Amino acid sequence: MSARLLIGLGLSGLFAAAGLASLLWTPHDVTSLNIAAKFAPSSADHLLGTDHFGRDILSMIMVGARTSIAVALLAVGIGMLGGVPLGLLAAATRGSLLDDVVMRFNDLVFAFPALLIAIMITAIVGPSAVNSIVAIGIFNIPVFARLVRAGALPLWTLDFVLSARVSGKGAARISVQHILPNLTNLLIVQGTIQFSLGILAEAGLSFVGLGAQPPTASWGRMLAESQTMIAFAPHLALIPGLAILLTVLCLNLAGEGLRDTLDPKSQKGAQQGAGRAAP
Amino acid sequence: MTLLTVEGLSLSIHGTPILRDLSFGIEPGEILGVIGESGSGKSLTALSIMQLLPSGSQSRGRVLFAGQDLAAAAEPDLCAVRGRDIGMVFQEPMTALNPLQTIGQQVAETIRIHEGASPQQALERAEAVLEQCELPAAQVPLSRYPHQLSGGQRQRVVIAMAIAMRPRLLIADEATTALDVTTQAEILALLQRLVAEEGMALMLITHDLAVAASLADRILVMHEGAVVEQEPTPALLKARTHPHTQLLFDATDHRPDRQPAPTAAQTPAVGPLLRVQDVVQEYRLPRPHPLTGSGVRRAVDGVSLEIERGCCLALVGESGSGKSTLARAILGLEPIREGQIALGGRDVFADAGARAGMQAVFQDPYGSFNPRWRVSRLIAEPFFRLGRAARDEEIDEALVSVGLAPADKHKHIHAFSGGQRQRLALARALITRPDLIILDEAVSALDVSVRAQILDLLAQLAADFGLTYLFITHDLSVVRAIADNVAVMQAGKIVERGRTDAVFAGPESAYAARLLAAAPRLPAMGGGSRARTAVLQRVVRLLLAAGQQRPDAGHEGGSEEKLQQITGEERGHAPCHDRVVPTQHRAQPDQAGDIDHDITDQHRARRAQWAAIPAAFGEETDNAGREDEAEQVTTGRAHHVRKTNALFRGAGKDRQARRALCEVEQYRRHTKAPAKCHADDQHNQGLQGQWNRPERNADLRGNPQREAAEDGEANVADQAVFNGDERLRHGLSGHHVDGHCCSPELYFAAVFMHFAFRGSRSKVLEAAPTCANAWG
Repeated sequence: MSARLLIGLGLSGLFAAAGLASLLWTPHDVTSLNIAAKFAPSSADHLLGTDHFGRDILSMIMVGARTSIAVALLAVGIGMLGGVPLGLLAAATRGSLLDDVVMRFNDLVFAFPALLIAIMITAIVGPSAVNSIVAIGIFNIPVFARLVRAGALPLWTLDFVLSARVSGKGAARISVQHILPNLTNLLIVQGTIQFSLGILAEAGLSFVGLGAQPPTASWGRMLAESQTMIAFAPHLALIPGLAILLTVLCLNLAGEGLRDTLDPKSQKGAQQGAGRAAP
Repeated sequence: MTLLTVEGLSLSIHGTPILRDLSFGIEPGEILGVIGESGSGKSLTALSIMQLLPSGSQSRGRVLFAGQDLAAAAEPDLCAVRGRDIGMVFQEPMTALNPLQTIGQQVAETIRIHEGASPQQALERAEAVLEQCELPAAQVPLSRYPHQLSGGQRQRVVIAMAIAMRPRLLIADEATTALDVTTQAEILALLQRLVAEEGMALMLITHDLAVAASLADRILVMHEGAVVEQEPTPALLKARTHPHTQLLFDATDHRPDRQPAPTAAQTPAVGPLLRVQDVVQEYRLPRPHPLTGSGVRRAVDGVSLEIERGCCLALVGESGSGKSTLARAILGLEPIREGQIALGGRDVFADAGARAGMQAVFQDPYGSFNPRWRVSRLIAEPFFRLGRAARDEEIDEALVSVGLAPADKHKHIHAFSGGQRQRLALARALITRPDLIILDEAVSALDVSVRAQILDLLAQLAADFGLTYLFITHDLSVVRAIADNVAVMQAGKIVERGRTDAVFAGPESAYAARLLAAAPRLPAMGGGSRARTAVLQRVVRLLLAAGQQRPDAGHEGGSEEKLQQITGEERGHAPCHDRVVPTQHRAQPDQAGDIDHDITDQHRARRAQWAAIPAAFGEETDNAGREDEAEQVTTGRAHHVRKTNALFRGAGKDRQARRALCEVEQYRRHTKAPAKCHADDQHNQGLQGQWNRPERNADLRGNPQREAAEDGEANVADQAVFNGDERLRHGLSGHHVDGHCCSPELYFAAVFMHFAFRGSRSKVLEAAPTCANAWG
């Protein structure tokens, strides 16, 4: 367990816990307006002050954490679930027609930015947080598919894959047993990056009104609403901005720590066996 | 003056000591061989000289290059030295070249940087340099990209880049390790020629003792970052004072004790274990143009072979000859186009059960294991085919049988060294008790000492479990050590097959002969009784052959002078060039066109000189056709050969014999070029290279006392062989043996010399048995 992993997991856990706690309790109701107390500075009652409607910012950050983290997590999940099998399939059938079809489909998806997909979905089902999850998730699929294919191709040329084939294992089994475990590093790193990007994308979608709809609080919406008041109430923008920044940083730290921990080379007792062959 | 002096060089990287107190020097024009196993600090020594050290390294000591201390020099000064005064050639020719630049640009770059020449001038210079490296622009234009060249051509480009500025020191770091044997021989010959032509010093870093021994004037043996021995090559080969040097030698020449293959009588008549019949495998090439059809490359072209149960067949060939493709076909991994492959009578493609009887060990010890799995799971993988999990006892037993501990099964693969990984690979191959194990370059990536251990293990396992091996390799020394039978593969076809000793003794196909000739070999300088016997065998054979070819000449008086004159001259400007031109070129008429350009005037002159020798003795130069006759005589006199071998086996001093052999060999080669003896020529070329250098011979002649003090017999030999000791000769021509005056080898060498140059057939034929009797 590295220090990086501890710090990263601890802080991201804090945000996640705050989000979960908001389901049961928040210092104030985020939907209740109190115009009289608008732009209140930090106080015992409102730890982080209030916004232009007099809503408690701490409560909004807690609720927003729930929305943002849920959206990003689900989007990464959709991307991995869709992209990893596609990438493994393409790598296993490298050079074939199937490989081409899969990768050209990915290119097609890549051609549409998340924003465009979100607009498309909005046109069909109307704006919501789910809308942004699906849009960001679809955008993530080709990212993971390409990554997995690129990572798997050199692995397929290695002798241990050949050896598994000598043992009679098929492409699917080799992909799952040999290829995928060796891609965990890549997937963890890319996963944390996509998670961070997901939070930012959700903020972006909410900013243009395609994500979470009022009165649902989200970090992105808070940023969007604060932009007209940034001159006289900078904390409205600073606080959700800092929340996004911290979450992304923590997640990257946690990802790196996780990668190191999962690497068999860093595990305990790694060096014990060296130089012990019988003559 | 010494060109490079390294004094007390120590290096540590992040606190880990890498080099310990190295001190050595290189003279201008000298070839220094640096040998050692991987991790002994050879490459970092080279990088320390260049001051191209990795980050986190701290070095102490002085690196004096032409009076300048490079260790203390500033970076701009070093940049001026690198490439201009010191050139470097790296191991991997593909990664040493920029794939996006043409070869001309890359060679010209060095010239532009150091001379500030205009691009046009630099390109012209580059063309000249490439031509010097045997890449004439007419055949390989400067506009080629690295990927359009073969491995050997790429390495020539890398060499051209290194020598473009005519550096005073050239460092070749494992420059031929990634190349095929034949290409390796060509590159080594090129390096040797360049060193001779340019008078530059060469620091030849290699793990291959044979390569170092065949080229280097002096050898430096490294072990764990320290110099353990540093001697002129012949002295090192002879003495090997340090145990580590001895270890390297033994490992290089190692042959495991193995039972001979069962003979036909011992094997029950069940047919061969593996039968490969007329197998054809093709690959579709990428279309050169969207509208044209795609071509097809035949990787395996009608190959048939059989392996008897309990035998080891070695499949030998260069890279791209289709060996590995065939192995994959046998393993049932890739469907074949035509033909049949059957293991124990069952077709491997139709019958998946047949495939369960085969396992494989691959080349790369680092890529053969999934780094995420533990050993227990790794080596149990073949049980998948049997549809059950491995039992713990089976895993333990497999580990123990390859010399590892059962406790190792809980570890991950990164905890094991390269040799241990190959043991694990063997354990994985063994665990299901297959009939056939295919070893695809299984020991090629290992250090010599580890390789020797693995070969021992293979022999032992074959005996314990009755294994049959298909051993795929490009390394002929390994073949000799392990295989009963050899099949030589070239361009998808098997060009020669037979028993190992038979193929090595007399290859029938030109390709096999070329492969054998190109393989670097340790000169047989006291290299164990086997090597010594081989040399002496040849002495005897040549002696008999020489006797056959030379009917009574009977003009001893007149030719004596001439002989001395010629050989004396020969020794006078001993021919650096002679050891430079690749022998196989000269010996092979079909390649004559290729090499015409590298026969220099000096060489022509030497040729003429040699051609004059037989004329001096009033003999015909055209001896072609007599070789066979001579061979027959040889066979007819086999008992003499055997006797003489027995005589010499324990003697331990064969230097004189070898020296004589060199002389005679020179003579023989220049009067005729028998196609059958390429391998031997190459071998002798190496010997000759060591003995025919002026400084050495001068040394030998000039210091008889030293030699005498060291070895009285050697002194006599020097006199007999080089100075024509009349007394000895007279004694010899009467084949009267003065027992106390010389050793058997010496006597023999002298006899050989004597008769080969001017002796008579009858006397030679008499001499062999007399000699044998004298000490038998």
